[in-house]
Amino acid sequence: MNMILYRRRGMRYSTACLLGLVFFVLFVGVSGATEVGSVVDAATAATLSAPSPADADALASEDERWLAGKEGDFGRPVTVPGEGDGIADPLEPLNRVFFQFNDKLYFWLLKPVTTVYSHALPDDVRLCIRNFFDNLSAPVRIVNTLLQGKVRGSGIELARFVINSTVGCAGFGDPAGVEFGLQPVDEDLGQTLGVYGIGNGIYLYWPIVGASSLRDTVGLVGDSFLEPMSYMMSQNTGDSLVVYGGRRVNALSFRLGDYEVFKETAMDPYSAMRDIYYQYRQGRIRDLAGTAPDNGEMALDDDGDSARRQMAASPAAPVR
Amino acid sequence: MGRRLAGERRKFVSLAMCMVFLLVAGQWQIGRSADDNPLAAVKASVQEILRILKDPELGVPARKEERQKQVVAVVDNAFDFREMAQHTMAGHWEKQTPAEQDRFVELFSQLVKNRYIDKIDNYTGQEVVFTKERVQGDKALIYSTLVDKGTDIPIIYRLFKKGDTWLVFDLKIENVSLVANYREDFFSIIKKDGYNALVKRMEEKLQSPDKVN
Repeated sequence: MNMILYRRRGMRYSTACLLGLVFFVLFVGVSGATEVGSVVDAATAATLSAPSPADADALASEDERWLAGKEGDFGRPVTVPGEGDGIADPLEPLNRVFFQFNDKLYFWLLKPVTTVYSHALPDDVRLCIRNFFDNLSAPVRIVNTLLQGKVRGSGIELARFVINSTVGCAGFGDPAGVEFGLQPVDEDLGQTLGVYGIGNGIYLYWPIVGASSLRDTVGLVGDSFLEPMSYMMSQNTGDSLVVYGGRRVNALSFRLGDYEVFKETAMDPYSAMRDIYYQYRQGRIRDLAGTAPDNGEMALDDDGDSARRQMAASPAAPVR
Repeated sequence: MGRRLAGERRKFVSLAMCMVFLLVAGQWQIGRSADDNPLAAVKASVQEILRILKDPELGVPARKEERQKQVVAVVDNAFDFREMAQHTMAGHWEKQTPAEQDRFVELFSQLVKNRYIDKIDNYTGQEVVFTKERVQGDKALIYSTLVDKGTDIPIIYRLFKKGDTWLVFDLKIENVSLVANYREDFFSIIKKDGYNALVKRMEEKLQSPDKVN
């Protein structure tokens, strides 16, 4: 699932502009058709400011409610998918076309290129490259932690950025994490909007970029303004596309083969991926994953490594 | 004198309270020991799997299959695939005959194992840390973290108590529930083509994974 984060980080200016345009058309077209009211889910709509610890507690208690037997199982009512809790997918036919497109893109282009790439460069080198790109998108995390009222997280990200950009040789190393134990606090604008009570809207599956939602696509576009790479894009589009591709391939090199397993063990990979996206993002927004309710804001996972980490154990993390 | 006596009495009372507390705590401890403890159950299984993965003799490529078999054996003991299937198929489960249910559990458990088993070949010394245990009646949640080169993957186990044994029936990895995800996946097929189509598809995918889709 975390490949979405990758893509997010990898978002470039022209892609962003394109997405922005498409989004605008979609939003205008769709907002009439679907009830936007249902889009803002009741749980997160509770507050329009960064949630207080008490709210976080209420949100984080999904598992607790299951324990107490008050919830349908697994924190969601057992309904037909697509109803109630979950993510609306009115554009499913179109999304499925793009899903097929990305599937081919993976097998015909990304996979062969990445296979050669990962044989050419050892793990450590690829890790450094990933660090470098992740460091470049630190501004996105610094701003979004602040927007969510996570002052401590913002401080950590700022410190990481300063340390890794200097002592860490322009971001290729991660002394902040290794020596100082400062783990990344991964927040993006999609999450920030979620924290502020904006629901997913509808599910969107973009060509090349992959799984997203209306809200998270807006987030991507917004975040791209904080990416130094988007400015490079406006200067030299050709080079930036190469850089974007390089980043994607580098990220993929850590989890090659996982998409195949996911596809083989899902009966309808499209639906399975949509649900993974939904569950994963819900967890990210509520900072739930692995967090016991009373732990508040701990255990935020990092950005760069999340893909590899998810893959290391995950149910499926589709790639691309 | 009287004041001293009062002091003694207070001391005695607090000592007695301490003893009562210790006794209660002891009882509680005894009551939760061994198989009655979901954390111990999960821990034992995880440690057993890590032991297999760390065994240098089993680590050679020639014994890959043997190693996978050993891990699967531990998983079969710790997981309740029937419960897992039942929750995944909520609403559809009851409509099937016992024979159909058995067949479904067989296919489903194979699918779940296939999804994860190859991951163990990538094992490079990752450790598991257990962070929290929550128990309520016959349900339990175990919070854990897979520590991988300084980065953490949060994993939550959901357990049910069957008789005296705690069994895992769902995994939440980075908040993605296995059961909830397969429910979405399976229901998508059932809704379109029905239950039999789902079973057929499972059989096909398990036989020749490359050819389908």
